[in-house]
Amino acid sequence: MTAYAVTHALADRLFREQSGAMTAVLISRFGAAHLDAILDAVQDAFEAALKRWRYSGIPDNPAAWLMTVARNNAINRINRDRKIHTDISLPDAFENPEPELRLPASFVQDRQLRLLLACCHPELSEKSQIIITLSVLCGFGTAEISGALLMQKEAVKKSLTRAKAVLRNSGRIFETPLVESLEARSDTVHMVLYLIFNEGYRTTRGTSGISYELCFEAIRLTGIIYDHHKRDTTAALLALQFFNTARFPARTDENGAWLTLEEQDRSLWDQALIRQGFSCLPQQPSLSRYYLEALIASVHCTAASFAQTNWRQIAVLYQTLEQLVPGSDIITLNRIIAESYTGVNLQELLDQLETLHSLVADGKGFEWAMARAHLLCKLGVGDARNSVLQQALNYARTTADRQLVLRKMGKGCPPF
Amino acid sequence: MKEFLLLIRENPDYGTGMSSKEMQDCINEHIAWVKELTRKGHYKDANPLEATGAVIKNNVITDGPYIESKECVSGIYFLKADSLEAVMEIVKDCPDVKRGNTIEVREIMALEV
Repeated sequence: MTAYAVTHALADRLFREQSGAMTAVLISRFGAAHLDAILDAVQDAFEAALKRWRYSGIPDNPAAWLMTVARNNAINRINRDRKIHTDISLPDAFENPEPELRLPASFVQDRQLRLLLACCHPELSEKSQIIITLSVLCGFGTAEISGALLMQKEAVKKSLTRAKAVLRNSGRIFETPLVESLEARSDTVHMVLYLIFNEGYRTTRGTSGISYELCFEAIRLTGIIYDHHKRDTTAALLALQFFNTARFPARTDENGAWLTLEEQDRSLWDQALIRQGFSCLPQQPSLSRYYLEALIASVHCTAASFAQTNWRQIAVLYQTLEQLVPGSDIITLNRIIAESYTGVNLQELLDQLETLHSLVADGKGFEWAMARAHLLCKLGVGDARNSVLQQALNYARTTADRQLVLRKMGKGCPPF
Repeated sequence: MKEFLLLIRENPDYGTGMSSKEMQDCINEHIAWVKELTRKGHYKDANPLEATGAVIKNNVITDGPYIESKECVSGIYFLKADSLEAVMEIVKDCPDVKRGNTIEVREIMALEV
């Protein structure tokens, strides 16, 4: 993905954006009880756009066009439902619908933010919160979600059915003051967006574009929260996402194979996004996980080369992060890798890494095995390193993971 | 320059079940294609058609005609080109062809000889 393509993909996201916008606006008008009719109506509006725009081009105000078609579709569908189930109450907004919906951006954002908070319902598991967010706010279909999260389609469907049931009863969130709901659920909503971004960042490795979509959507939704309420935590999360996205153009070679940080051509990093990251970084921040991770990413982004990376600073930041988020094995793993470049006793680090074996059970066996291979390589234990790489191959989650291991196996030690 | 009518034939359910990314990609490809045609002076007009209509034959009006048809005409283009060969070269690149739809190309008869 070139820098141009990244910028282009960020800008040209009408369908994704409008999917969430339309669903949110229609739920606020007609009620969350009509969720199914609304989701179908939104899908219909896209199909209508597909049929017409191919010939007539995109209308002057595509958002208003889609919103109006979806609104009319929703009214028809809800009316049809009422003929079958006569007890369905009629929403007030049914009377005198405006001919065309040109809605102020702030109104649409407010509605999307409320829907996002509704998706982060405490009754739902973290995974369900992610899935329902991708479905109703980002227009992801079941197949796309299962591809992006590496889940079975049936499992996604099941999770969606349950989450929709919870969402249908969450109409109140469109009535209570936004500040209140945001206060109550901000930790959850930040975590969900952080995880959506990470999921996209981790699984991409040069394969399908869907994973990048996860990252772009996380940025879009985090931006909506930040526009509404300029909190440090949100700003830090946004900065972290910008710094990581800036490296997208360099993450794969021309064949789509994933490149490690060390191998990346840093001149391909998107400087505009790096600047955006810095402009988001809070000046007098409260210490949060996102802030520390953003700082770590910023150190990488400003290092002229891999060799010139300020690993001491990164190691200190990871140590602080370990104290802030106790018990996170993946943070400890990253701290160990950072320290391996700072002259700390490698055998000690390897011993510490051995105690993190529970990462395997958490589905992070690949990261764990790769870190071990890295330390063994630095220790000059070539044979052991190769058998660990063999182990990493078994934990690989994607084709790109496997390709990376195979490439490492082919190379001597060093270079890793 | 000669004028040609393009009849785009596709299943009336075209687009159903596509993800929003696929739909976005499809529209983007089309817009890029039309832009290129306009730039080269081939484009005259294009319009989508409603999936349903009516047919009159022997004074009997029926709905249709495509209810049973897998390949209903979903839209039309008017293009300008020097020859049928030239216009077929253009049509080959139409995103619809790549997506498995059928395009019928007919030269519009000129009134003046």
